[in-house]
Amino acid sequence: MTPQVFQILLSLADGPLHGYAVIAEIRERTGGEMRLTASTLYDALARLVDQKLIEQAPAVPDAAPGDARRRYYQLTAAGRTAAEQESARLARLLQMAREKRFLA
Amino acid sequence: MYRLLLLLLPPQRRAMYGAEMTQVFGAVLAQARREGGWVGVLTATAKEAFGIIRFALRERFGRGARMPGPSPLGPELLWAWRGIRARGWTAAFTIGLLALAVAANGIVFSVADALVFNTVPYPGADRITTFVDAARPNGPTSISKAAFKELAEQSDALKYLAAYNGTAIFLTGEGAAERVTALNVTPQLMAVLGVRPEWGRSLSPSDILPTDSDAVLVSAALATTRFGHPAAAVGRTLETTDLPLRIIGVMPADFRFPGGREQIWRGFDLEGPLAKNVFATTALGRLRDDLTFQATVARLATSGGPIPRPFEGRRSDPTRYWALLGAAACLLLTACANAASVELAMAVGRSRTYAIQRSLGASKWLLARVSLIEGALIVGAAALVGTGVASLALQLLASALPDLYRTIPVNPIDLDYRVIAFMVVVSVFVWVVTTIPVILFASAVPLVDVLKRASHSQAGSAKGTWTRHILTVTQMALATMLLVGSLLFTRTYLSRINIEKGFDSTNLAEVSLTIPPQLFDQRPVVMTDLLGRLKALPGVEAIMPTVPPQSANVPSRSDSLEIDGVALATPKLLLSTKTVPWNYHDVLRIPLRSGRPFTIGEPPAHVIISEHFAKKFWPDGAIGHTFRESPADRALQVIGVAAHVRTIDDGRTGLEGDRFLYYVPEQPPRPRPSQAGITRRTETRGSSVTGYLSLTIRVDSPDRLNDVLDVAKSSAPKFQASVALVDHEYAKWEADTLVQTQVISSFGVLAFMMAIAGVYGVMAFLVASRRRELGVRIALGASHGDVVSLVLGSATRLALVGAGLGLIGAFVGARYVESQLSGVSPTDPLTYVTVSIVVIAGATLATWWPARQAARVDPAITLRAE
Repeated sequence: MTPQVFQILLSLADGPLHGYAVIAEIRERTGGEMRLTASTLYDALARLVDQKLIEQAPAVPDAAPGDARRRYYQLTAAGRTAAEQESARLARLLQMAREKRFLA
Repeated sequence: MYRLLLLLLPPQRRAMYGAEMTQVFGAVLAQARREGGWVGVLTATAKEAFGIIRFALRERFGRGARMPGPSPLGPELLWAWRGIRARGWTAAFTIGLLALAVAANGIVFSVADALVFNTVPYPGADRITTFVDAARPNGPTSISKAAFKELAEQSDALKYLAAYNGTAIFLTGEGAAERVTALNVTPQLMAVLGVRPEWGRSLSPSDILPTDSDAVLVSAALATTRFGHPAAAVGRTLETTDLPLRIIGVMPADFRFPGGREQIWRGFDLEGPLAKNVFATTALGRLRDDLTFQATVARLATSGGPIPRPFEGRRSDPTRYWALLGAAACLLLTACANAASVELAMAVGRSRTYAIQRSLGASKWLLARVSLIEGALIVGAAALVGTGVASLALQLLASALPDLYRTIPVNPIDLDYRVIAFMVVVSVFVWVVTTIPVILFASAVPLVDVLKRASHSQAGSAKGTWTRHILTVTQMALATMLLVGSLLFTRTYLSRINIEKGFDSTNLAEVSLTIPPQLFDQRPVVMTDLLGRLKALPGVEAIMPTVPPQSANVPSRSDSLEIDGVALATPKLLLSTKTVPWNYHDVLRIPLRSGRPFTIGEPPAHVIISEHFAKKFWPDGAIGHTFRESPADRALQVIGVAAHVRTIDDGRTGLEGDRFLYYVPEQPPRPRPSQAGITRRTETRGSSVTGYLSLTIRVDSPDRLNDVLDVAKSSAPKFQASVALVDHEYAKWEADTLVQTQVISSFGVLAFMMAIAGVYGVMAFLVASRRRELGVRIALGASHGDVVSLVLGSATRLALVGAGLGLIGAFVGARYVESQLSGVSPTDPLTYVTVSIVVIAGATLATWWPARQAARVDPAITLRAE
């Protein structure tokens, strides 16, 4: 799983988001380290939808006015599992790095 | 543009995500603009374009491909490099072509960026206003002193108000004596501009009270030259030929106002001694924080005083740059179409190779990737070469510009980050436009068909030929448009420089010496000596001790003019006077409409008047009539009427040149010896005393001017001497039109050559691909002429369609540059017909060689190969 895809899954962990909100959430959470463009995002979203890791969310109750055109995306059960497995893999990786004293 | 890029995506993806992507891209751009300004926007755009292409390629060629992320491109890079090397000279040709187009766009954009798009760097420049005279709403942005006073009295309409006038100051004292371009300004000028001195303080009203020195702000450059460091200059004094200057502040290093040449801003009072000879001034105001521009206009409109105009701090007519940018874009498109055409021909030629590679297991995506990288390498090389060329050209341009653009705030013209970013975007555009046809073709190569076909029919599909036809027609159309533009601008330039001046300027030159203040006393001696030595020079036909008439006098308003002893009811008139040597009209060959020229010892009460003056008051003949400017003056008698002399300022400053002018004969026993033949030109502009010694000379050939300069230098080694042809001085004022004409013409010629090369390429390609068909025709009895006319006919059809579309484009486009044209109509039939003939003749000539080749096809050989 590429860092971009993992970040997209992370951003959807708390609930459905629309496209730009995903970009903004990732930019904010990573302190501007990762900035997705519209094309990179939708390239990834299209594939995640194809792989049934995410899906289009039904209407969002508290959507702001003017949001009608926006599509919201949410994690599927498979997506959540994939993200958890990837997190576990990363955790194991970190543990190894600690053991080798690459990290404090 | 974004929607066009989205077309690359497969239809179902576009339907699903297109609208959302557009919306998100808009939001990303807005964010990028907030964070990184221009650069951010351009970077985000470039990234997005790249991302969409990657998305599209993956969708179209790489079903089930990996997630987005970096992928190693090692082998592809190697294959792409081999592909480029295999092209030989055509790769160099394509790179050269694209580099030229990228450079042309970079140069034009950076000039336009410095002079038009990037308005003056004053904070809140959109809240600065200038003013025009209510009586001349379309006239220059200068108003009378009285009007300024009136404006100043309405102090509640504006936050700050200031006036300024250009001047020159001769610095003496420390360092070398030097003439410095300066500005007399009222104290609030810097407040209006929103700029503060970086060292010291700004001008205050108490600084303009009469004392024994003048308070000034100076440029950082001048302060550094004179005192080593700007901070060291504050509080110091500069000696001048007039009152000493007291430096109270030093401006920031990048401050320029109103042009790039002013180095001193001297505080002055419009009612004070420095403004004694000032008739008009330029006013600038800053809007009150609570008033909009319209509200300020409305508030001031009630008084009938000067009318506010937005202060643009730039040339009033950006059409010039739009025309140039349009021409550069046309050139770029022509180059792209040509390069794409060449690329496509290569790809079509390689269709068998593609087919074999595919059959050996290479995916469509791999072929497309290699083509993309090849394209990127070529465009990257072109961008590098283009940047180098643009950088060199801009250095040359920057050294040539100060003379052209001395009256506007000149931002540095260089390859700054905006220009680099622009060129990156242009290069990405070029890459997309030139590579996509190849990728589409490579992905659509019919595998089995191509392999089955015999070698001679590898020339490609009908689709490839059709695309090349479209590319050729596009090139022809763009070249036609540029050629029409070139001709229109060339004719405009010619009509401007060949305009009737009212005197004979052939081989007429001005010799001028700039006089250091400490040598003022030597002026009469030097003048007499110089006149004597120049008269003795072979080839000198005439000489007189005064300036040639290229600059208009600043007229004074005559309030109490008397004509034939009768005071005029509405006497206000802008009247100019010129004191001239007796042989002035003879030396300049100014035609006299009636009467006689001056003779030696002409009485001072005899005058020669301009024809406009004569027509206004004495339409039936002015000779013998008298007038005086005021009852205190003596009456002047008209002895001659001279033709109107067109000065450089005619039609530019709104002063209407010297329309109402009278010439007064210079008197031999001058009241002060220092006046002999000395034109203190700057004195009339309200400046301190700076000295020039000028004379006008007519020689039999321009080659003589070197001798003239040598004599001038040797007779006054301590003066700075220069010689300038009067015609050159006039041409200088048209220099920007000339530059524009040269640029558009060279673009036109280049585009035309590219288009012709394109036609040749297409026809040669067509002939090669139709060898078999032509062989069959010849075998069936077609004559040599039939085959030639067949090939010529198809080329002429392409040329006709291209030229037709180009003419329509030019017809529409020319209306937008109408304001730039003079002496020729934007729909001038002669221009359009000439260009049509040239384009069609060029296309026919380019087809001649392929047509001959076609006629020489030997049916026996061609058909045997079958």
